[in-house]
Amino acid sequence: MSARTVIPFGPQHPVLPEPVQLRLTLEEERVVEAIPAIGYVHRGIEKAAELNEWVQNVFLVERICGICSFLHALCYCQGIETLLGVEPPPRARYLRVVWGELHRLHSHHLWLGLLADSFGFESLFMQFWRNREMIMDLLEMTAGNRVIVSTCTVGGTRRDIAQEQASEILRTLDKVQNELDKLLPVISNDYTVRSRTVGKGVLPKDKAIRLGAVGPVLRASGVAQDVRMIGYAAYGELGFTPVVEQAGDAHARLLVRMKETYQAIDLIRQALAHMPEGEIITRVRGNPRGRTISRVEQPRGEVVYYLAGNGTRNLERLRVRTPTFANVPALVQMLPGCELADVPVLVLSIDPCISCTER
Amino acid sequence: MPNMLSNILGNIFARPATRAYPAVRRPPFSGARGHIVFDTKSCGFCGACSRRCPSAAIVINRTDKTLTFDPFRCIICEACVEVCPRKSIAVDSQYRAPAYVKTVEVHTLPAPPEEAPRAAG
Amino acid sequence: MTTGEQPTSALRPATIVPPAQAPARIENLERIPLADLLPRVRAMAAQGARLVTLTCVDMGGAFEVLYHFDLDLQLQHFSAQIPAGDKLPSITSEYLCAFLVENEIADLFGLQVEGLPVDYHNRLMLTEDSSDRPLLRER
Repeated sequence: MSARTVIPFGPQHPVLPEPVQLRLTLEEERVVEAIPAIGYVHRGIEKAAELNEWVQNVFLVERICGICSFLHALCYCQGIETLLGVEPPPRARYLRVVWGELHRLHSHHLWLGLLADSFGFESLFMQFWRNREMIMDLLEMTAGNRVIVSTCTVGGTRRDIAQEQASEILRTLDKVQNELDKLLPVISNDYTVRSRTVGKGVLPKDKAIRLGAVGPVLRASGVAQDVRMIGYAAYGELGFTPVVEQAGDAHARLLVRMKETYQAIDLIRQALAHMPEGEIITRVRGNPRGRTISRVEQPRGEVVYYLAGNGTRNLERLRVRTPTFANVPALVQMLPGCELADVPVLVLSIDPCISCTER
Repeated sequence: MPNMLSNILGNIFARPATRAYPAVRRPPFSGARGHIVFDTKSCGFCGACSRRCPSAAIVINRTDKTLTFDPFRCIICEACVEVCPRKSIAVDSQYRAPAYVKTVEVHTLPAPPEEAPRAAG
Repeated sequence: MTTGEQPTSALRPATIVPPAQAPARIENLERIPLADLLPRVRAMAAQGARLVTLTCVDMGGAFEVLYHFDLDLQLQHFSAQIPAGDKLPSITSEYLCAFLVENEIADLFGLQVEGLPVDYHNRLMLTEDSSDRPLLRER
């Protein structure tokens, strides 16, 4: 029995772009316990959403997260549409898929780069982030802004994708896929990547479910669960099977996200090919009444909105459960037994988004 | 490492992926949301934009006919553009330059032309 | 809801006319007494359900706590009501992952939770000098 040391990992740490703390209890180099501490950037968005009008909240919930902002707006708008009993037009549902998958694509690129950076693979990091710029340009071209696209609104979308923009998207996606083809062998076979991820932070299937893990973390543990399977927006009409890996380690989570970038490209192509002509927005009248649950698959996993309206311009309650909030307990269970040097990789392997977590 | 080798060699001889920004600027996309511009000539000071603005960046004084706009609060969501009944608000695709000091813009009704002096009372 | 009129922006000020249809409801929502909570949660755990999250709603004098479970993408919800001042039993014995959300509820609503394995003592989200309960309704 060696002496125990407590090391505060974070809130400021080179691999963490956002503040979160893990209090790690170590026996020599080995982690025996990890206690998370969040709350450094809590912004009270759930409260602010009760004070704002429900139409304005679309812009508020987009700012919960800077990476999956469109999907927050989508989840909120779908919830409000249920409360109001409106159905967005078919074209809007396909446009939502395009923007949603562009967001997934750039989010996964961001994460793949950050993971490479966490074990010091700088050139791989640069490659992914260079690729990501092409996708950011697509977002700026179609929506007018790189990150907070603000294209989703209650009843439909606020912008349309013109024919020439659609062909530009397809051209750029070919380039992105071409670059990804060069990086896929690095991700799956490279010695450096494998030695830092294979067998690290194994999360067995039953444990992943019991710990409430969501998204790529859950799918890397062999659970074929993706909220897109319930067929919101136009996903029910597009060919789609969730990406699943069986190993449950950090490398499996890496592979899931890498394959999901290809899946996102494929879904955008499908959505653009099958996009019907027509209106992009339904007229909305009235105020939301009743309550509902809305779910959307974000790059990091399932996001859950609980919305309650009372027939006024303000919502009674808006509750947001973001994917990272659900994955933190899984992370805490992954860490005991690993080496201190592997902690950064494991923390990143759940793709933590702290601003999401704290709202 | 061998997997990345061709990539690295290619990058040595390739042009940089970045731009020498202040010197070389990419023209903005046509629909880019750069900043908000007001046309007070056609503005009716009805206050629709100020009620809809999610970040409370617009304050309208209906008696003085002034519109105070805080560009540092503005999130360029275009909600005011869509809600304006007289289409007096537009989005410019050029981004605003960064600033050291936060300022607000005060827009008033333009002075009436000289040949048509305002009637007394 | 589509009408013959030109579709206009959803950002137009909404009319205050209440919609004709009944208020939306959550499907598979079951109201249960607080005493039944742990046995029901245990039964969900035995079926292999995933705990999605907990939602706390301030009802003025009482709280409604919703437990959301997911079983193969089907949601099941339990709703338990608890008077203000009473202690909510923790479900961490069945679902360890509930410790974060239960601590969050304790922080933001001031609803005390009994039997937490990791208790942040209302300092998960709030700062050391904070004493208010931000999500309580103002009366």
